[in-house]
Amino acid sequence: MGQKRITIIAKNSKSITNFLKTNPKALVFIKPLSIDALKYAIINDKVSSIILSSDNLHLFKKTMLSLIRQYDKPVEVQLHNFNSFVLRKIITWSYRWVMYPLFSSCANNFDEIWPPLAKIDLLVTHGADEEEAIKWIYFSPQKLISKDEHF
Amino acid sequence: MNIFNLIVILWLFTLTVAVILSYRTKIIYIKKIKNKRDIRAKRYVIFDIISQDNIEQKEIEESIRNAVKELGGKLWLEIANPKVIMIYQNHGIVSTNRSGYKILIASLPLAKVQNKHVLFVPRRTTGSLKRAKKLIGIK
Repeated sequence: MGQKRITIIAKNSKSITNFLKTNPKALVFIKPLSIDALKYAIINDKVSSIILSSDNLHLFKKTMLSLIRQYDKPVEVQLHNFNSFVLRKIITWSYRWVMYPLFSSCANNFDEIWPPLAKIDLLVTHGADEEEAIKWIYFSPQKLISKDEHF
Repeated sequence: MNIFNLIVILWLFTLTVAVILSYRTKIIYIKKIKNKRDIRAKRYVIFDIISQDNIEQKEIEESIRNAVKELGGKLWLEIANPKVIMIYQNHGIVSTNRSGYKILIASLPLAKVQNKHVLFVPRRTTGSLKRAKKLIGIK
């Protein structure tokens, strides 16, 4: 049925390899804090998605974005304490480099959940097309889960 | 020079009279362009209230207005001007306008009531209050 989701903050590629050895079956979301960790997370098949936030925004240069496109790696933005600048960036990148952007609530409590309609309108107010926003909200998570079931 | 000024004034006067007369007799076709954006500018957003606590309509309106202000600032709060029209069972209707309903829907998850856990889930947007009432089950 459902799979466990694990989020780790990685300072280097070694911490990712050590973690993947101990937790082989899970949806692994990595928040890289260095170029080395980001590159390793993109290339590694066992990593489900990369987390983008204001802490690691500076790592996402053109070469890294090209690598993301090459490996079709989903990029997640967490909405529990979202930054409008990060949202604007991911929207512009999603037209060219990031094929599967994910917008997660990452809620600790039920009142922190973001309903899909609210997510769509949040993206539209940040400058996304309505059609694209619907596609990102409804189909990107499906793609992530279906991609993970093949393993 | 004075004679020239007089001639010009007379000429302009005759032209003005001609235009007024032609407008009355509809010789000159003047089309009034209606701004379509003004037509049916009202929007009503239906939302569900998920909470175990009892929350008053005034508290909900205040929380929604604060949420819009948090996301869009004072400018968008004044453009959207959200007002809670009614609460029925666990449904609610907020009135806004065509330019501000998207920012209102986007800011609904940010609405928080003090010391209470509550989630507002946007359901539908309609153009008439009658239809909004019908959708939440009021006949």
